[in-house]
Amino acid sequence: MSEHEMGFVVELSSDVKNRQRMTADFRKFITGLEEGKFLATKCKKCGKKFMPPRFTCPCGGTDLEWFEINPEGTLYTWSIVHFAPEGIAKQTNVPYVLGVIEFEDELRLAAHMKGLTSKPKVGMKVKVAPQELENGNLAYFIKPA
Amino acid sequence: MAIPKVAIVGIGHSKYGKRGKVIQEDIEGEKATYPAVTLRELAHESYFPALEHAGITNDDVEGSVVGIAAEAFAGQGAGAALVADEVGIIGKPTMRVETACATGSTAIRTAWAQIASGQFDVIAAIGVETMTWLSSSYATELMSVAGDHRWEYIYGISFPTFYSLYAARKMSVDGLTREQLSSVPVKSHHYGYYNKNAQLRRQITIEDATGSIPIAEPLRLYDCCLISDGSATVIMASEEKAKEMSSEPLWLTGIGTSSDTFRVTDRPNLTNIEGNVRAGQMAYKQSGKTAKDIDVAYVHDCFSIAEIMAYEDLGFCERGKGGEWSAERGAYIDGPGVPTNVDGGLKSKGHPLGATGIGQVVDAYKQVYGTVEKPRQVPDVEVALTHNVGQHGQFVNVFILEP
Ligand SMILES: [Zn+2]
Repeated sequence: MSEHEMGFVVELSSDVKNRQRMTADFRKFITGLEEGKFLATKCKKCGKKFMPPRFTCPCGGTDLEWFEINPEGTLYTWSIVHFAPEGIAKQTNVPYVLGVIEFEDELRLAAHMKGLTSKPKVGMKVKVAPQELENGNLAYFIKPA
Repeated sequence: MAIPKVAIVGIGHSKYGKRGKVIQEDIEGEKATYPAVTLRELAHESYFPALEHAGITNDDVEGSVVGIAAEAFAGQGAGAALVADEVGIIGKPTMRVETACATGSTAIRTAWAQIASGQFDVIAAIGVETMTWLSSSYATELMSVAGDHRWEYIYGISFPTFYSLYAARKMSVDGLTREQLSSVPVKSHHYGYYNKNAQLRRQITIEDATGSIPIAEPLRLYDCCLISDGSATVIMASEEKAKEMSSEPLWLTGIGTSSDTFRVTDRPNLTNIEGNVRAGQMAYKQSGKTAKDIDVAYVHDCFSIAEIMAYEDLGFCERGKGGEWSAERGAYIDGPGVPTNVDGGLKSKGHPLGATGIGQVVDAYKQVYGTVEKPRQVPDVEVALTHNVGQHGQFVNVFILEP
């Protein structure tokens, strides 16, 4: 990709199903994704919220409840990656665009960006959305809102 | 509060460089790739000069702390045992420490604690890394897997990418510009050019840096430090022993240390590294110094953006003004502030992970005693500071050093 032809951005490596050891807690997050929801956690002891979800809290709390977050937010920061780490390079083309979306309560999530028609801009309205890949696996991407 | 007195009494520093690889037949006749320089050879290159500089023999050294950041780089498990044996510190305690790119300074901090506790009087901190025999994509991989595997690594957040996330954010929030970023490696190369131990001794221009190929935008090639082979050693001693064995001790009067969140998305902001601030304040408080007292500084410039944040986090300039500070030559010897990375930094001198934090202290020693190459000598150094970061703030050590 040259800098003139953004818009393209690869879909991959964010293939969350196949690249994770599936713990019961993490499965809950994936199940949410399959239903189109982004699930975060909240500690019942101290009230702190986590995205990406944590399953235990630094306060010592182990009882956390899931809640759905509004998938819309703003782009907190970004990077256009031209050299991937070797383990990722086999599965993705470069360059790819990485974004960090900021939701309500200053919760943030990193993911690949899709659907850009120009260079990403900090503060632009974006949303995060799950998407089934051609191979049937599931991924999620940050897209312009 | 003053901390127990421990001094650097001997220094050694290999030339940092790209020694590369050799391909030869292994025992079964298969072609295999090996590092062209081994941990053993590298350790020799800094340890024995340090021992000689301290004016002692191995009989006087009571133990060692060895900094090797990644076993995978060396192809050797239990590397501390190998290094200690190779340099002849045998039958005495050794250990390997690892805090990613801050491994070297953590070796010093660990040796300091062993002496400060009163258990030992003389300990060697040895940092060594052999990296360049691996491809840069594999080296990138080794550094990238230190990111959160579940939430970061799978998106291909390479090591430069972490720092590019700070750069993009800082450009937006603080108005950092591309030219300001470029002014950092220009300075590093300006001074590294004169440093005989530096890996890449070449002057560059703002245009060279700004026009270099993109790695992880906004960062480009010249924003990124080198991958290096090298070693550095300091011999450290208790107050009593230091006074006995050295007429030129360098005292560690501040040992600040801190950390930051594992995941980049959990940081309170991406315009500064709060772990830097905490470690810096701890070191200043212990030594009774402030940023204004620092005569020369070595900050962790793994990327240009990291040096700019360090200026702010350590109080060399106002928060949010690091880019301007750099562009206005704030960190040059003839500039208005603290001369910084006048050894060339990680960018020009090089970054052999386990050695880097020790190499900073070695150069600080030489600055204090006036023995570096003339064009990069800061006049009348009374207080030096070193700042070494692992990952992007997960490990931070800040030392204050005084004669
Ligand atoms: Zn809690």
